[in-house]
Formats: sequence, structure tokens, C-alpha cells
Amino acid sequence: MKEEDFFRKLKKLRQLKPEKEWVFSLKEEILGREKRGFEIFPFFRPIYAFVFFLLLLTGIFQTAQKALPGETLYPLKKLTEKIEFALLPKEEKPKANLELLNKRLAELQKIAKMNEVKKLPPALNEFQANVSEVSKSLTKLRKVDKTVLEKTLEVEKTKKEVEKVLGTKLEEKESENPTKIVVKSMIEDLEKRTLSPEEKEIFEKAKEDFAKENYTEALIKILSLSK
Amino acid sequence: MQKRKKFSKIYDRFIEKIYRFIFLKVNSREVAQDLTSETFLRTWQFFQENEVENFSAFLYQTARNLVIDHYRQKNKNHTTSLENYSSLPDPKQNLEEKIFKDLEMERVQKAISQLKPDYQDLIVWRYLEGFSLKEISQFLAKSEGATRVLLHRALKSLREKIKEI
Repeated sequence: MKEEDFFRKLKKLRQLKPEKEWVFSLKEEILGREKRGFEIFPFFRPIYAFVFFLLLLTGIFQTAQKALPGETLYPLKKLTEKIEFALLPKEEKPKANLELLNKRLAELQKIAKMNEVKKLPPALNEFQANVSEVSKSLTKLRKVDKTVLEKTLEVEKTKKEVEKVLGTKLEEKESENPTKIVVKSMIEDLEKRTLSPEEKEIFEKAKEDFAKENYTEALIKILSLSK
Repeated sequence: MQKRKKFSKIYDRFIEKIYRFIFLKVNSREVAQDLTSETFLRTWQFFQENEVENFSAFLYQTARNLVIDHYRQKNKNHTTSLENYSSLPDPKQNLEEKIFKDLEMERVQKAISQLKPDYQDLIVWRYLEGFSLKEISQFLAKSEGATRVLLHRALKSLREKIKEI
């Protein structure tokens, strides 16, 4: 036999093939055996996938709530806040805005404590943006109630703590100072009311503080009157 | 699920090749089927727990080991003569039989079966299945240079056998 004939004939051996039926049944035997072992209720597969997706999404959203300005998940945190805010009734929005401002201050405080310099500018921007929002909603508010006063005082206290950590005053436009807006509104309201001599005295002192731009002191005095 | 899909594709791609590779060594459809199914089952079991970089190398290596074990167990000489094979009782005339009924094909098979097992593998991989030198070197876990030398020797040995038949 010639060498060329040999290789030509050798290639003919490619016709050697196993029976199709056997090939099919073996594949089922090998891969099917595992299927029975590992997959419980395969028809629930789409539900498993959905539950897994939900858990993943919940995990991401929960992690996002701890995010700080300048971090990847921070926009997601803001989005959650916006959705929650949009769902609130109109009268609850000024309080919610004050709570958000408190959150921004808490973020600033955290960043300052951790000395994360890079995150400070975006955090300050977020704070300024929230101050504007709070001022707008407080200006529109017809009646300042006790909860608003308490929330404003809370913001003022946190602000002082942040300023202490940062070692500098947080800049905000005079017209946008939430405490000033709230105190001014309360003074206008109390002017119309009948007060006892003791209350009148406290109110006068509050007005003096307001004139001297000691808005926090004025707020504390007014809050004592509303008790 | 990804692994199952991947292995399903690997199975479809290699089942005929592995079966042919084993059949040419054992000369029996039943044994070839048994050893082929064992080859794929073991590979699948391994793949479920580990990663396999080169499936063709893994499958051929497993098949080779199983054929060796088979001959050890049976205490047979792996170069079963064609005469013996032809006399195997098989009531159904299958494809394997039809091919080997051709006298020329008998001679081809005879020449291969007279080679050393390593040379048989090299000739089958290179000239029957058309694998590249690089692929064959991976099956043998040898360098390309060493594989080239082995293939050269296998061809030389084959030429001698062809002259004899």
C-alpha cells in the first residue's frame, strides 16, 4: 500500500461514528442525573431569579443609605429621599425638609471626623442646596408649629457641632437662614397674641436676641413660650 | 446552569471523536461505548467542582487512562488483531463492521494496531482528526518540539508497517 493511499484511507475512518440514539441517551444520563440531584422545583426558577433580584436590589438600596456625598451610591440615596419626599402630604414637607437638612449636616460631620477632604466640597454643596430648599418651604409655611420649632433647634445644634469639628462657620445666605425665618414668623404671630406679663418679658428678650442676630437664643425663648 | 450548557456543547463537539479514538484502541463497540460514557461522566463530575482549561486535552487524557485501565483489568494485549476482531460475534451488521469489511481498510487498521500505543495516538490525532501540533502537544503534556520528534518517529514506524502489509 502506498503512503498516500494509507492516509486517504485513514481519513475514511472518520465515518466511524457512535449510534445517534446512544449518543443522545448518554448525554441525558450524564447531564440529567445531576439535574435531579441539584434542581428542586425547576418550574420555580423564574421566581428564584426574581427573589434573588429583589434581595440584591434591597441590599444595594440599604448600602446606599449609608453613602456619603462623592460616593458612587450617593445619587441612589438622594433618589430614595426624593421619592419618599414626593409621597409626603404638603403639610409634612417643611418638617421633612428640616430632617433632610439634619441628615446633610450629619454627613458633613462624619466626613469632617474621618478627615475625608475630597468628599467635603460635594457635602458642602449638598448642604447649601438643602438650606435653600428648607428656606423656601419655611417661607411658604402659613403657621410654624412646635414640631417645626423643635426640628429647627435640632438643626441649629447639629450645625454648631459640625462647625466645631470643621473649625469654621458654615456659610449660608442671611435671607436663607432657616432659624431666622422661623423666629421671624413666630415673632409676627406672637405680636398678635395676648401674653401674660411673664411671657411678655420672655418675648421681649427673644425680640432683642433676634435684633442682635442671636437667632438660636431667640428660638429657645420662643420655644419655651409655646410649651 | 452555565456549566451544564457549556458541557453540553463540549459533549456534542467531542463525543464522536472520543468514541472513535477509543474504538480504534479496543476494537469493540460495547467496550468503546462503556469507556466513552465513563470518560464523559468523569469529566463532567470534575468540571462541576473545578475549572477545565483545555477540554480536548482533558477528555483524551481521561480516555487514554481508561483504555490503559481496561487492558490492565482484562489482562489483554491492547493491539488486538483484526482477525480476532472480525471473528467477534455480532448479530447486527453495524457501521464499524461495514467499514472494516473493506479489505483496504483492514490493512489500514492493521498497520495502526501494530504501532506502539503512543504512536497510534499521534497518527490518529494528526491524520485522522486533524489536530494541530500545538493541540497534540497539550494532549501529551509535552513541548511542541518533543511532539514533532515523536510524530516523526511515529510516521517512520508507520511507513515500515505499511511496507510490510
